[in-house]
Amino acid sequence: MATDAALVLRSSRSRVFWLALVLAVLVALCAGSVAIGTRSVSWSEIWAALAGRVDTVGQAAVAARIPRTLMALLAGAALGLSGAIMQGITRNPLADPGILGVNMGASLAIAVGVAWFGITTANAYIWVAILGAGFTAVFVYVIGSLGRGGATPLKLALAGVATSVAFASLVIAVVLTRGDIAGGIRQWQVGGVGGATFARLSVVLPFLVAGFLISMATARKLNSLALGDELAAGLGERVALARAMAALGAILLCGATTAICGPIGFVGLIVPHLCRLLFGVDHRWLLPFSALVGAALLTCADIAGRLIARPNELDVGIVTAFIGAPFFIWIVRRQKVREL
Amino acid sequence: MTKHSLSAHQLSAGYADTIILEGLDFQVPPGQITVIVGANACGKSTLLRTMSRLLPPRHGQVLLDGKSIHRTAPRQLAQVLGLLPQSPIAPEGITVADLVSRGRHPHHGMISRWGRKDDEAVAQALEATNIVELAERPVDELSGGQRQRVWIAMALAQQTQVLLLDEPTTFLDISHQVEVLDLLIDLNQQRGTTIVMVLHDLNLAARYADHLVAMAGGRIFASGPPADVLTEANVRHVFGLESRVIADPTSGRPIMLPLGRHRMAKTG
Amino acid sequence: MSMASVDIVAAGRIRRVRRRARVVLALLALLVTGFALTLMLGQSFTPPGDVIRVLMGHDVPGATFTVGQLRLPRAVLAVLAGLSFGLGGAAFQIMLRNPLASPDIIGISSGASAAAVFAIVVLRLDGAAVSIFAVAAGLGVALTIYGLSWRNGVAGARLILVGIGVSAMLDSFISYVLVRAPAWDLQEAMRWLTGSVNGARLGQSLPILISLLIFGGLLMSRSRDLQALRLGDDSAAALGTHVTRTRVMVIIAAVGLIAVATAVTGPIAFVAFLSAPIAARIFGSEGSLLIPAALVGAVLVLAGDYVGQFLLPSRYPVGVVTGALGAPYLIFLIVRAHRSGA
Repeated sequence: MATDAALVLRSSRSRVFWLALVLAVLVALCAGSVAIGTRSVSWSEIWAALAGRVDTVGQAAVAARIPRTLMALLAGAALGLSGAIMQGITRNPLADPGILGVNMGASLAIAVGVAWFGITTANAYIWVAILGAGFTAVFVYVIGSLGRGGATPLKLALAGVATSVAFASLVIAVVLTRGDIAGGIRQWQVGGVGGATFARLSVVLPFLVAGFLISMATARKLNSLALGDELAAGLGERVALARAMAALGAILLCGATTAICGPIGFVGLIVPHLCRLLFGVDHRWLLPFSALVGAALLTCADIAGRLIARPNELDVGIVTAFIGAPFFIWIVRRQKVREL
Repeated sequence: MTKHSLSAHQLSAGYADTIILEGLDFQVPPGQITVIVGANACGKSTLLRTMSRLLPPRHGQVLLDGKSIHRTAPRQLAQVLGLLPQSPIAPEGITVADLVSRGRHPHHGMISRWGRKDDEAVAQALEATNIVELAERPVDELSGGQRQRVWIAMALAQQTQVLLLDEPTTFLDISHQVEVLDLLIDLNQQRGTTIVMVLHDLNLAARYADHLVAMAGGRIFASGPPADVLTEANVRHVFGLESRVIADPTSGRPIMLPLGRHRMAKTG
Repeated sequence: MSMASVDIVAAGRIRRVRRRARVVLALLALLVTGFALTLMLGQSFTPPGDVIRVLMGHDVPGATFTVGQLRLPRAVLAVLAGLSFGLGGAAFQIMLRNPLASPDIIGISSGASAAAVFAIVVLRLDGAAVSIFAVAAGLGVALTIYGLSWRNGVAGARLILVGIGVSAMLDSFISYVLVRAPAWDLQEAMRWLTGSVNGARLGQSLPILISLLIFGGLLMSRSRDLQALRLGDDSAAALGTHVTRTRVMVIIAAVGLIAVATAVTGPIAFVAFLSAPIAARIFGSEGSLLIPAALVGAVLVLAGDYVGQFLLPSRYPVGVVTGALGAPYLIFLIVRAHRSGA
């Protein structure tokens, strides 16, 4: 990574340039996300909807796109950021909340909560999802780092896949017992932002804000961890504490996102790689950029999902898998076998 | 017993986009022990792999008894020409006898049954390598030296007249290295097997070879009896190393002593 | 050479052959017993006499429907699919020398499943056409994965990871097709998500039977060369095996087995992955694992389906049971493989 990073200019000036560019792209995507959809609407209807009017079907469609766009922005930022942190903590280029099974863990926790403990409020969803995500993250990491060589990319990915498949089976097992929620089974399998409302947004927001703050505070610690545990300890870092804190931030972010949107994979994988290529490996820059680029990617994927399958729409989780899987393969091919 | 002739003619070979051997001619002396030496990446393993059909040549050909080995049916070839690769894989939990009996593979078609002849070949191989008492032990549990003897036994069970070995002594300590090489000499003397191997250690190579081949830059730089090949001038050219070559007081073969920059006794 | 050592070798070999025969016979007995039991047991008990009369073609009130129409097609499908998955999975694992390189982990099953679901839901095909579609797609995916993991030779680790990526993509394609399907049918969705033998008809088993004969036969004819491949490509070549040709034949045969079965039952989770390691555990690693693995696969699907139908608080498709069973085993394997440093 360092050699690629060295190829790009990383002076503050170029960072400011990239920051401006990413922000401009984000604004354009937001506009696009409100304007473009499975239903074509006129500009006047868009303006009217933005002004708060929902008189025509077109205006109502646009009005529904506003919270959806915000959700995509927030979810993308959360996933991009949590991916960057997970890759930092594990020093593993394949780490991602989806691949590590963390999203599926959150999904399972919600399914269990709904079916067996009768949870109904969005708030309870989020707490349960965060618990599930946290448990799964620790579980997969422990499995993946047992034995020789610690947590190699191959072992972590396999542990994540195994856990994902098991949890997906369990989700089906849990949901099938309840005829009333079984119809919604696909929403436990593929994530999307289609159902976003301002009410749901406001519930998830505090969790995401907490997650963002904790995550940003760990940037410097992640920089030390990147040098290896021993060297980090030599530099005076409390390694276990640093890792736990960063993990907490990442789990808050992806758990809360999964609670509202369902499992969305690969955003957390692609975004940090892209950002490292563009902005270098300093986490103080990498983390905020990962959040911004993640927001842009998910918004973009959501727009694409509305366009590809007209008049239906594609859940954003499907779109990200189609963008993300080839990227995953590309990363795998770049690695030396020895490191896998 | 007929001696098979193995030779390479105008051989060029390599991997992907790099050519390693270029226009190489090589005649293996039948019934003798040939040892190939050379610096890292000089093409000695590539030569061995091409001679044993693992690697198709770009140009030229490898002839066994006048017939190109790359146009011979694999099983037919494997009855005459055996190879012990550098890092063979022992399936988990397999026993010594079972692994050694895999050497009988080329002697069986799709439906032919295992017979007394096969048991005898396996028993002979176990005896020759002195591992009869290990026969029912799992290969995983053996030491490095024992394991190498098992692999050689597998190649012996194949009962080929020509045997190629790619660094059969790597990862072995010195006593096991000597043990393996002594075993190969026995085999050569008792059965007349033609042996070609790549060795890292120059002194062991000179000690055990009838015919020593020094490679440099994808070509054969010198070949012949060890005393003619292992000279100070050749070591300088092949390895880029200043050295003294003296006669080994026990075998009379040449041994090479590297001259470094330090720790030199004052000599007149 | 002394007579004593020949005798040692011969005695060891005979012991191995006998042990192998014993294990195969025991597995066969287990499978037959399981098959018989699933015909007798269910919501209600059908006495063996009635089962036999139904099988002979007599009309037995009640039993003709439950046994002849419900239990028999289901059990036959479970056995044939299990044999196919076990055989195909073992072939991949042996060929790539890695228990993790099974078709359900490296995306072959997902490929066949995606093709089948596309053929059925979107193209509205059925029967043999679906099987052919699935086999073609399975081969395409196998080729793609192999090509993508090629970099101066194929390394096992890279192949597995590339396969994980490819199967993530195919799985989301399956979700896409299911979501777009005009009528959301839970049973149908379950089949393509985890695999199931629900609603089996006897006719569905025919393509699997034919594929077992053709592809299974092809695989068995390569069994000895497959054994040689376990010693590494170089050793196998030195022993006179045509390495590339063997690989190609084995891939075609194994993909064919997996794809045809998947086109009917969906990708029954982890059966292909589990069968050979379980067989190796019972059997030791000597000799060919193909037949024992096939038998283990059949027992797994049969037993998993029975458990899913009758022994759990709610009715589950077989894939849910094998998925929940297989994942802990996969984790165990990861932990153990890396502890021993393999």
